[in-house]
Amino acid sequence: MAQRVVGVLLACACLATSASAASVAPRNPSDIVTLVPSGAPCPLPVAGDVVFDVRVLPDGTRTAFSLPHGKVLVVTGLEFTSKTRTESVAATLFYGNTALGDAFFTVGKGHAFGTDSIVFHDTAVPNLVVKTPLCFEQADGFLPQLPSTAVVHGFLASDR
Amino acid sequence: MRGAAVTACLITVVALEASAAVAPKRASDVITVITTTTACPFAGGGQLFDTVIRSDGTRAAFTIPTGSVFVVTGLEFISSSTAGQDVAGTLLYGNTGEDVFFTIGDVHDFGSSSVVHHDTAVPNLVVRTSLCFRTTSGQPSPPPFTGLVHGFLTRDR
Repeated sequence: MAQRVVGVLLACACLATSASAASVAPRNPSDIVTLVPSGAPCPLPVAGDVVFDVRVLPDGTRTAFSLPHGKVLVVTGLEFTSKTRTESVAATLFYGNTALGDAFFTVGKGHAFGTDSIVFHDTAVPNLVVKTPLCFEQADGFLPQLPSTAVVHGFLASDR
Repeated sequence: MRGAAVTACLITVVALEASAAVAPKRASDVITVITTTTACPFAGGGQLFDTVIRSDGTRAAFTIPTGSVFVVTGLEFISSSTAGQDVAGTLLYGNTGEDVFFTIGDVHDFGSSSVVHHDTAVPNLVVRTSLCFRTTSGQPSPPPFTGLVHGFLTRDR
């Protein structure tokens, strides 16, 4: 009998261990976030760069966003729209606390929309882990930057 | 001793539940929702995803059940294209008109017409309200379209 109970305990311990070692993924729908910029500049600003500082909640309302203590943001998707003076617009995500460089690059091609050339671009982001403010920059090769809109999708996870 | 084993197992079950990723638990949680012709409840055009296509091919009115959220994982749309132009699509929350997902489809020549067929993944967009879809091609009025989203229902927690 005692042997059987010990076996059950060991099995439970193994399962609990595997649970704690589960992959990096959102645990609850409330962990999943959609972020947009308010237009506020990045902490280390280049003219036109913006920080993702607004969370769009699942009920469609907005609230200010900053990373909760002990959490990281895992970015899984990015979209942006912009006018362009050339054929395409490049975009980057970068950590907002450093000027050392970019952490994700993509580019969207221009589409003729009436008399304008517009970029609409959506792409997956391969689990970019962010522990700082997250910034967005776009460029079509000319200054000043043209107005753009960006959205990032991802989830919050424990920082461990 | 037996009590300890039961307690350990209960703790384990709770741990496993807490560690489960956000995903459909049953096949019936996975849904496909389509636009018909119901307008979004705000200015600017667009249509509501108002009809669920069931796994037996039948259709029914769609609303998110109380206590659940809809996690959108994929989007397709088809649209005729005016002047042979590409067509952009946007998902919006139905109660505020907040844009939360952008994409665009290239135009394709289909015989004598220009058509956009576009499919793309959506990175787990969580929706607790009605969901709208809008297209634009830079013309004064957007061409007709049909939107389709895929995803799953899960507990809102």
